[in-house]
Amino acid sequence: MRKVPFYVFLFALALFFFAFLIFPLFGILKSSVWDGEHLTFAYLAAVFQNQSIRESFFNSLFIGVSVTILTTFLSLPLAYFFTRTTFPLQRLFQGLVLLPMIMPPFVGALGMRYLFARSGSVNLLFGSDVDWLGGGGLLGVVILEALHLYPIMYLNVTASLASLDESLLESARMTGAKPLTIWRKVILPLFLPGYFAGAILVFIWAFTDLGTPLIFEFRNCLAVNIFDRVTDMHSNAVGYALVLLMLLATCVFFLISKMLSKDVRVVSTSKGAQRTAGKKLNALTLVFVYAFLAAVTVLALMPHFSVILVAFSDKWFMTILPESYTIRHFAGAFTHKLAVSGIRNSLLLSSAATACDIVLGIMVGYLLARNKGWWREGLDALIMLPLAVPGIVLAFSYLSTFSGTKLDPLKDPTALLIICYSVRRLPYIVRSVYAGFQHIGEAMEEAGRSLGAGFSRVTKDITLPLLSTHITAGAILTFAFCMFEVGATILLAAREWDYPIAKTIYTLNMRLGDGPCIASAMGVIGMVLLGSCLLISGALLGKKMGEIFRGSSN
Amino acid sequence: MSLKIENIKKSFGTQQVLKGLSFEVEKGEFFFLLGSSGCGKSTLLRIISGLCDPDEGRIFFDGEDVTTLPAEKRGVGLVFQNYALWPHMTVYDNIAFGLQVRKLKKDEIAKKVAKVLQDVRLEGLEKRYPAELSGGQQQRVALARALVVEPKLVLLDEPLSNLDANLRLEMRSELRRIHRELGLTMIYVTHDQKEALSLADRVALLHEGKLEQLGNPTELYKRPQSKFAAGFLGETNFLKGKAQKKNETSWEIETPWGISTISQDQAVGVESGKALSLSVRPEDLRLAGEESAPNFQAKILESNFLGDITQLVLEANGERLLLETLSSSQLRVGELIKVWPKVEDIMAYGE
Repeated sequence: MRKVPFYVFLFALALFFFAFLIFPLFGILKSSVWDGEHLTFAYLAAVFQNQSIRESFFNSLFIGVSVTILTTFLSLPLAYFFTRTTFPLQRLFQGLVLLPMIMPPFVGALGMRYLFARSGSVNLLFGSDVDWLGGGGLLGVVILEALHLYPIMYLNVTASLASLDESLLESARMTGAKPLTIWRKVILPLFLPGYFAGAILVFIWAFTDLGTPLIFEFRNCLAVNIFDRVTDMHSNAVGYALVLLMLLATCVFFLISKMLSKDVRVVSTSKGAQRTAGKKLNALTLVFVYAFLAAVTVLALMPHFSVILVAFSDKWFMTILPESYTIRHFAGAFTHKLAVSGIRNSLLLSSAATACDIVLGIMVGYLLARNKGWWREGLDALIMLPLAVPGIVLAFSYLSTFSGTKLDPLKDPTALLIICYSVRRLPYIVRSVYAGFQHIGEAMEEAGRSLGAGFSRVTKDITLPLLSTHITAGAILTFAFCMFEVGATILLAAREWDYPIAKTIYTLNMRLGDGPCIASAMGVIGMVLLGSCLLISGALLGKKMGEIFRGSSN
Repeated sequence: MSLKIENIKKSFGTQQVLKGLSFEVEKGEFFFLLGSSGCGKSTLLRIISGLCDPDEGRIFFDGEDVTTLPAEKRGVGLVFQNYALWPHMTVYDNIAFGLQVRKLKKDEIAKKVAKVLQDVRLEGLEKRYPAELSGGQQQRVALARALVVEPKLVLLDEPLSNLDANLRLEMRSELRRIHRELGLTMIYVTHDQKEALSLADRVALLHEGKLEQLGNPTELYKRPQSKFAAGFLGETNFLKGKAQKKNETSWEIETPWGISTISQDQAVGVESGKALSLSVRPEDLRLAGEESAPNFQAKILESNFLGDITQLVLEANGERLLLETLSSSQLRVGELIKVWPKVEDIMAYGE
C-alpha cells in the first residue's frame, strides 16, 4: 500500500471510531458526573444507594458468571470428544451442537415459557408445581443463555485444544514430568489464554443481555433497568450512571481476561497440518459419549422445538401440547404489517452492516497482518474495544449523543443502526480475516508480485480467493449477530415501521391474542433464514458447517 | 543480466542485519549466497527482488539503478523456500499467472507453459492442484512458475531445503542442467556448503551481515581467507603454530610437526614472531609411511567407519584432530600412529 492513501485510511478509520464509539461513550461519562454546571457524584451515589439497583447488578453478575461456568462445562467435553477422539456420526453431531447459534435466546424464551412456566407443559405432564424458571425467571434466563452461548465457548475451547499439539505433550512426558506438572506447566498455560478469550465474550453477552430477561419478564437485572430509564433519559441522569456502571464492569472484566489471555503464540514446529489421529473409543465410552451428545443436542434444541411448537399452535391453554395446529401464524408473519416491515428492515440493516464490515474488516485485517508500525497496537485495541461495550450501552450513548442531530434515531434510525451493528461486529470479522492472512502467509502474495502482478491484481487473484473462507465465515457471523441484535435495536428503533425483527418480535409478543404465536412464527422464519445462510455458504465453500465457524475463532 | 549491489544496509528494529554489502554478479553466472541462518542472506535476496527496501545502498541491473523499482516491475523470478504455490490454482494456472499478468494471448500462454513444463519435466500434471503433488514436483512447479516469464534474473531461496537427501541430489543436477540450457543469471541462497560448492560458479560467503569472502568454490575451499570461512566450508582442524620469518614469496612457520614453509597465499594476517592458527582439513592429513616427512605422532581416540572412508579422531599435543582415510586397514583405538600433513593445502591465520 502506498504511504499517503494508507495514512488517509488510518485517519478516516480513527475518525469513524472516535465519532461513533469514543465520543458517545465519553458523553455517557460526562452526563453521569456533570449536572450541567458542576462535577457531581450524586447520580453515581444514587445508583449505589438504591437497593433495587444493587440487587439488579448482582443478579446480572450472577447471570454472567453462571452462564460462563455452565457453558464451560458443556463445551469442554464436546471439544475433547470432537478434537481428540473419533467415532461414527462425529460430523453430524459437530454440526448439531452448533445449531443454537441460529436462534438468539430471547426467541427461544418465547417458546420455553410455554413448556416451563408454572402452568406450562412440564408441570402439567408431571402434575407438579415446580418453578422451573426459578426466581421470577432468573434460572430460565441463565439456562437459555447458556444453551445459546455454549457454541461460542465450544469454538474457542476447540481452537485452544487444537493448539495443544500432541508432540508438545509427548515431549513433556519424555522429560519425565508427572501428569500434574504437565497440566500445570504445559497444558494450562497453552489452553487458558484461548479459553479466557472466549469466556469473556460469553460473560459480557450474558451479563448485558436485554432480550431474554424482557421476554421472561425478569425485570430485576441491569439491562432491563437501563431499558426502563431510556424514556426519561433526558430528565433523569441516573440512567447515565447506570450505563456507566455497566460499561465499567464490562471493561474491568475485559481487562482481566486480557491479562489472563496474554498472547501465547503457539509456533507450530511441524510444517503442514500434522493432526494427530483421534483416539478410537471403546464401546462403553462410546455409549457415554453418545449419551452426552444426545443430551446436549436435545437440551440445545429444546428452545427451537418449543418456538416451532408455539408458532404452529392453534389453541394452547392449560394443556401439555397444543390442542390443534395451524399455519395461520405464518400467514400472519408474512402479512402482518409490523412483521413484514420487521423482516425487510432486518435484512436491509444486517446486509448493509455486513457489507460495511466486510470492506472494513479486510482493510483492517490487512493492515494488522501485513504492516508493522507504531500505530498497530493502537489500531488493534481500538478495533477490539467494542467487544467490551455492550449493545445496550452503545445504543444508549447514541440516543443521548445524536438526539436532535441529523442522525436523530427518532427521525430515522437506519444510519445509526447500521453503524451500531458494524461497530459492534467489526472485531469478529477482523479477527477472522486476520487469521486468514496469517494462515495464507505473505509469500503467497510476494510470489504474485515477483511475477509482475501489481497490488490490485494480487489482491483480486490471490489474496481474496485464498481469504474467501475466512471472509465468508466472518461475514456470516456478522450477519447472524446483526439479524438478532437485541439491545441496540430495542433502544434505537423508535417508530413501528423502523422496527427490525428483534423489536417486532418483542412488540408482537406483548400483544394479546395471537401476538406471541406470530412472534414465534417470525422466530421460526428467522431461524430458517439464518440456517439456510449457513447451509448455502457451507455448500459454496464445499466445507462442513462446523468448519466455517472454526476460522472465526482462531 | 548482470547485477551490482553497492553498500547495502538493512536493520530490523535495533538489529542491523546487513552491514554494507557490495559485490557484482556477471551475466549468466550461477551465483551463491552462502551463510548460516540469520546471516542476512535471505534479506539480501528479498532486497534484490524488491520485496524489501534497503535502508541504504543501491542495486543495479545491467548498470541501471533499480533500488526504488517495486518488485512487480523488476522482472525477477523468485523461487520461495516453501514454494508458495497458490493452493486454489492448478499447476497450469500457477504457471500461467505471470504470463496472464503480461497479457499474453491464450495460445501463446499454452505454448509457453507446455515448454516450461517440459523443461522441468512435469508434462501431464497441468490439471493437478499443488496439494496433489509430491515435494519434488511442487519444487519443480515453483521453478517453472519463476522461469516461464523468462526473467532476466532468477532468485532461489533455499529451494531444496524441504526435500529429502536423494531428491535434493537429483534436483541439484536438474538445476545445473536448467541453468546451463537456459543460460540464466541465477542467485541461490543456501546454508548448505555442499550445495554451494557443487553448483556454484562463484560463492559469496556472508557472516553477520558482512561479506566474508567471495570467490569460486575451489578458492573458497582451498584458500579460505578467515578462520570462520575455513570452519564454515567443510570440516577442518585448527592447530597452534607460530610464524618465524618471512621470505620473498613464502613464510617459515613453527608447527606441531616442526618447521614448515608455506607460500604467501597460504598465510592471512600472519606477523613474524606471532602466534597463528593452522587450518588442516581432515583429508589433508594422511597416515605417514616410513619415508613421509614431515610427520608427527598422534594417538587414535576413535575410529568411525563411514563406508567410503574411515574417520579417525586423534589426539596430538593435547589437541583433538580429525583425519579421513580411504584405507580400512586394522587401526586400533589407543594405537600410536604417525600423521603426515599435506603442507601445500594448509592455511595459516594470524591470531
